[in-house]
Amino acid sequence: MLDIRDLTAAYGPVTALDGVSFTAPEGKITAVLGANGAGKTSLLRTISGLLRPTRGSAYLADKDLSRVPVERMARLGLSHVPEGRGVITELTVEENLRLGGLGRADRAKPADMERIYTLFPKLADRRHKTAHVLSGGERQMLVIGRALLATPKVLLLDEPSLGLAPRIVAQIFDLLKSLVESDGLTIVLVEQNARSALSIADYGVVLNLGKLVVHDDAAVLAADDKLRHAYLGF
Amino acid sequence: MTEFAQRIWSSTLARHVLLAAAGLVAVILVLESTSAFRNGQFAVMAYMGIAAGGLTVLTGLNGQLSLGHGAFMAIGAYTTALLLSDWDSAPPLLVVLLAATLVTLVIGAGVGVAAARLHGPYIAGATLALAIAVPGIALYFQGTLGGEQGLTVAVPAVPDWFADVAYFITGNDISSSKYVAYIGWISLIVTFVLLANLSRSRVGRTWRAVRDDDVAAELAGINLGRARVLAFVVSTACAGLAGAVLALAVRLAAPSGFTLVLSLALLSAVVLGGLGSLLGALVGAALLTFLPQVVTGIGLDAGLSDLQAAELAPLVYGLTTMLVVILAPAGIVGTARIAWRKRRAHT
Repeated sequence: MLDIRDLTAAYGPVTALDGVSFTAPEGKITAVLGANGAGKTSLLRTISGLLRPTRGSAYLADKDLSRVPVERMARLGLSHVPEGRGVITELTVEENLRLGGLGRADRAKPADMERIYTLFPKLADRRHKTAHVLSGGERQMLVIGRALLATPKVLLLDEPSLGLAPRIVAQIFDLLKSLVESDGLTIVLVEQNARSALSIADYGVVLNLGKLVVHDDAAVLAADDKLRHAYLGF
Repeated sequence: MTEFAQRIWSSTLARHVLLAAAGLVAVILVLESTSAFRNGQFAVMAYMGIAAGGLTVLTGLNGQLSLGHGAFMAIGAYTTALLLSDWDSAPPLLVVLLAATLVTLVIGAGVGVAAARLHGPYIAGATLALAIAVPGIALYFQGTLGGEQGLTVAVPAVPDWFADVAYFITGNDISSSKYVAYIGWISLIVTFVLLANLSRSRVGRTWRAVRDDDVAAELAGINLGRARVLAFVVSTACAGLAGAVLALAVRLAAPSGFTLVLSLALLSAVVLGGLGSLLGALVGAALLTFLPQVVTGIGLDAGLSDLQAAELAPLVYGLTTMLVVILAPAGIVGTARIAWRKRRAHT
């Protein structure tokens, strides 16, 4: 579904990604793991065009993404939920969600909105409140909901667990798992929290200093003691 | 409220049209009950309000700072003056107003495309240059634009149908200055209804999203450049219309009317009233128009000389601005709205 081939990117003279290649198969969750500065966020930013590759490219169903403008990505079926949430706090919850449907020809249908509210009942309670009243977990739910309203084929999630209580993280991860099963969504999940990410992921990719260290089944990675100690910290 | 009234109120368009109708009634009542001199001042308030309304959309909703809106008003005013150079061949006033708006819009689009690549202080700097350069154009093309003296504007006579309608509603004859005040306020109401609808629409949400978090907006599928240019174009079109009304009210388009002070006054009106609020823009325009008069009057009554009283006005205006920024950083309307919301949350 999402093919990463020899992806290389840099911030000025600093190389952030160095020849990374892997495939995120359709209808599966691929976890991207690694320490701080390993290039996880840069990987997502380069896929969605916020950062342009200096070499290589990402392909969405064989379409080269390296020259697609960022705002067209949503239309092609690639949704990126950036780190730090990206909630527009002055808009209401509902208005935030509607932004997600902007790129669709049919806009966000009421039925789709209702589905998001069913997935996240807490958002439904506050749909006409401005988003700055939401807690961290609710904000994460809001941006995931907004990304889903764009009806993506591939969802890129950057650290959805950041700053959230373990119980909320578990809730969000369960929901991601069920979305993959019900919608056939493809997810690329960047996480510091390697243990919980591997518990829902089908595949895992480990990055270190911009290079791909290993790409394997999530269960294999979780069972590899040496790897866990060296890169994943548990 | 009855259920029917509530349903009307919950429809954005119906609510704005109702408010506009109420506004029109208020305008008629005020203009009919005040002197010709006050009518003239209300015309000033109208064009300042239109320009401030456009600026508050740009700065408040889209987060772009323009120090050059006076220049766009100049473009609208000069377009009006060129079209209304003599009584005999003058096109209808509606055509003149639309032409002034359109010409400014086209020039605004050009500037907007360039400005959309800039952020924060850089866009402020670019528009600042515009505010200084545009009046200079009038000096350079002395033949067509009248140089320092400017161009006089031949305000067309009040059309018979307008005089008839006005007489039918108010029972008063209509003078030329009252006519201009009506033109100004009708323009303001139409502009504000359009701006209010726009800011409550998908376009307005897009603008606020771009202002608050451009990365999230872009990832949601918003073309940042297009959103920024559109906000700039809408805002400059308002400034052009405001310039046209100014030309009618002052009967002159001259470089001295469009100095940097005008651009800064507009910005201060927007900040005083409350960024992003149309009502705030109107309050700011009222302060700009009436505060100096009132303060000067008080000064004269207190026994100051003419000159001293006139110098009191900028001092009081400056102090008012400082007090608002320190005590009510959300602006007058913004702060009132927050206080009202708090009260409602408590009860």
